[in-house]
Amino acid sequence: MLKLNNVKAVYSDVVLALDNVSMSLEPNSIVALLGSNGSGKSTTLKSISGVLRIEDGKLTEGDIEFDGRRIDKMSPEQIARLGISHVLQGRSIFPQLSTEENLLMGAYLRKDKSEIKEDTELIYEYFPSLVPLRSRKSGYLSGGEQQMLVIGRALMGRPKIMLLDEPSLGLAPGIISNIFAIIEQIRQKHQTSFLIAEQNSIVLSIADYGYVLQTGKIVSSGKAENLSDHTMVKGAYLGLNADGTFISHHDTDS
Amino acid sequence: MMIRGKGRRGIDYSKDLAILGTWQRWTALAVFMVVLIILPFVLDYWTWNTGWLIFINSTIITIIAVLGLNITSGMAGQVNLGHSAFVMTGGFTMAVLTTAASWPMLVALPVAALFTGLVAAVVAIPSIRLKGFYVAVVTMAFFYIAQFAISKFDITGGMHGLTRISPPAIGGHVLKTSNYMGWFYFMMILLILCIIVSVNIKRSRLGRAFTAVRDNYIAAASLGINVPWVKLRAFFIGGLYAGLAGGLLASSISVIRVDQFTFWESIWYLGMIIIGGAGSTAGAVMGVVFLQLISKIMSIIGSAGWIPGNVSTPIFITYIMYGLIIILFVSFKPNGLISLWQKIKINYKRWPFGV
Amino acid sequence: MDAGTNLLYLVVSGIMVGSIYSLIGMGFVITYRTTNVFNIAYGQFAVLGAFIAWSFIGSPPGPSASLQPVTRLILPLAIPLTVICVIVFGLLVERLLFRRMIGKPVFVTFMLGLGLLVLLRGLIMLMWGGGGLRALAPTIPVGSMTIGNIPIRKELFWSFGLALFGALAFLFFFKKTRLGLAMRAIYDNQIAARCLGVSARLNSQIAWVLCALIATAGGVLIAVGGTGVSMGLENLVLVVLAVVLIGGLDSLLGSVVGGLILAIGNNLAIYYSANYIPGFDSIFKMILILLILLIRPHGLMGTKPIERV
Repeated sequence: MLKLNNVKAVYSDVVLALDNVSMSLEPNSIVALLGSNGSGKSTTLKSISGVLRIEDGKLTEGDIEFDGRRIDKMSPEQIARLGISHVLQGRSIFPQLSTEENLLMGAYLRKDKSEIKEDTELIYEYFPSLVPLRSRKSGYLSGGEQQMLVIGRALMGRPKIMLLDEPSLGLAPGIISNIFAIIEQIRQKHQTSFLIAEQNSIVLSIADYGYVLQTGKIVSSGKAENLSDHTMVKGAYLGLNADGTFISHHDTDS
Repeated sequence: MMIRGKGRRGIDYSKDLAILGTWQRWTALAVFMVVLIILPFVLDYWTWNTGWLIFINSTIITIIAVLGLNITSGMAGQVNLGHSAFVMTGGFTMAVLTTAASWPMLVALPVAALFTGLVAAVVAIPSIRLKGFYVAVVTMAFFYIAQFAISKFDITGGMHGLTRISPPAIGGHVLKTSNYMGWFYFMMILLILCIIVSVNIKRSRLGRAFTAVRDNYIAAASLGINVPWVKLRAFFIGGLYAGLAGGLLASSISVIRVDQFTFWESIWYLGMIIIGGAGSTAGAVMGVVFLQLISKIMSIIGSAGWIPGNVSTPIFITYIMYGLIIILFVSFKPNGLISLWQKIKINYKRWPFGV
Repeated sequence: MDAGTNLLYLVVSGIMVGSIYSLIGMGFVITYRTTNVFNIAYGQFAVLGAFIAWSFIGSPPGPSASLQPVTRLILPLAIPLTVICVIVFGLLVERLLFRRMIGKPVFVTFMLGLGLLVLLRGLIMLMWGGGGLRALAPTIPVGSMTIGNIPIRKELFWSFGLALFGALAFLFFFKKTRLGLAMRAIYDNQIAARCLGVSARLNSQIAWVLCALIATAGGVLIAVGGTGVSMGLENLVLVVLAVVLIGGLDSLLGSVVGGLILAIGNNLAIYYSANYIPGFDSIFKMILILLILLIRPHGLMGTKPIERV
């Protein structure tokens, strides 16, 4: 369904963020994108959603296909219309808008008023803690509530693919497992595919497949259950050797 | 065989820091100075009226004023929409000092400049806490208030301004004779001094502080730069220049009225800086000369009757051209003429390899 | 009139004039909120719009009328044509000037606005002459009337009504409609909004068209109020500046507050200072601006910017 072919992404014409990255996302699947800070996870998602070009970046090589169509030159608006929803890092709510208004914005591209209403209620079922906050300005919500709101908002558009950028960042463990459980529910109920960029290994518990990024390159990939114990994964984003000691900078080759 | 400019490689630190550096540049400067000195004679011979010399004199005054704005707004990033009011302050101070108080010009001129600098510093005070265009709005408010205030005092002639300002003289010897030449030399000397000071400021510690405050004042403060004090000095120096220009203006045309200074002047000044390249001394000079020449050419074309429409049409077209030029420069060449000039120089040096 | 009625008159007419100011201020706020452009050429928008309106509506007939425009039409045709021309103008400005500036810092767009200001002034003078003061044929009833025992000009009353209607319409649009919500969203978080399908381009176009329309409405209302159509309308930008600085650059409700404060304050200032400092009212707004910038730079209802290095 979604394919990245040998993508090379550059910021401001000088900073190489992605180097020969290839990956694919099948329908109704959850794919994890693992890696530490600066590994290129966010850039990968931004390349797909078109945000890369707004931030003075571009693809110098390779292309991105969605259902056979090239999308790497499209604007974020156009890509949203194709059914790809990008939830940016850091709980990108509309702070001046209320919770309810945030959710309505998620349904911006839809015209079916009554079904939008139903979907809103559905979101409140997924995230009951948002119910008392319906009319409150979303800027006043807590971190966890904002993250739930953002995921709910993206879901309102009934996307085919959801790109989540570090949904667990800065959240308490209880809330994190809650959110990931809901993601799994959403996948089962709506057949939405997820591409989740994360540093937290909890993502592997719901993912089918995973890629590991390090300084812009894919260093490992495979079925999720195989990855969680893999040495490369430990090395890539925990900075640990196989025996658990820290990798010294003398040993890395980049 | 063509002589190309070679790269400047300073062998020691003093060579690197020198303003001009190579002998070619000193020669160029010397030639330029000679041209300047004989210019009025040449003009006098070719054009039998003094129109061009008057034009050049008024351009010199404008350059001095704009150099000041370049320091406040171009280097230090404090957008000043009230610069025209500073020029007005300098002019009125000069007029009052030389006429009502009968001070000699050589004393009155620096005093006018100083006073204007202090006024500018006072205007800077409310702007200290504000950023970006809020500063611009404060300066604009000041402009209107200053206009209002000056027109209310009798000493400044109220609504009618002051006329019959004493002609500029040094020790009894009147400078502004009927052919304007002595006046030209005097102002040219002042202009050169102003340019040298401006260039030196840019290269000095204060100049670098200006750039830091302009680009990111929070980072500048975290580096230990006293941002309010820097802003104050930026306005003060800009006011000095403006006051000087105003004083020269008052002496030049012997009449000073509040309605000679409109908000448009402030806009033209800003436009000249944008076009020339904000922050650059050479750019400011270029910007002024460029726009002044355009309006001069337009008025010549207009009076020669080559433009259809009535008498005022050339003025309208000048507005249109100014506006278009500003828009084009902001859209496509935000670094101004000076960056264009630098590109040309680089291309020349590296030809046929280009940039 | 006795002192009490006098005061009442000042307040009532202040409220009415203030509503017009508020509406005009909203035009500025809409542009700033949606495109982050400080539109200093706003005054010229008003002048241009008023002149376009005059070209189709013409001057009131009578001996004191100046020359009539060739393109004069009857009112039901003139008004839609004016609206169409103004919309085209707004779209042109957006397409040619500001579209490529989406995302650029405020300083740069401000300078662009300066250039536009100068350009428009030249164009307007070229097309309609430099000095021209043209009376505008009334598009709303004119004359005198009384409210209670306060004499009020009819056109002021009608302008007030229209401005009130317009202001309420805008507030409704932004609060309740899908498009208005989208425009608020894109101001709050541009990237997130675009990732949800909101078109930045459409947003920009709507903002500039609304700006041009409101400026024109303001210019026309003031011209009908007695000043006529002339270059002098460009000073509207000073009124707008005061209104939006007092109210907050990005707050529509703030424009309402700002407009009322400015108008009523101005009336009171004229009344009470007439004997002491003649002409004080001309710089009253400047003093207000200075005060608000000293005390609360982001306005009474504007959002306080968060500075991040």
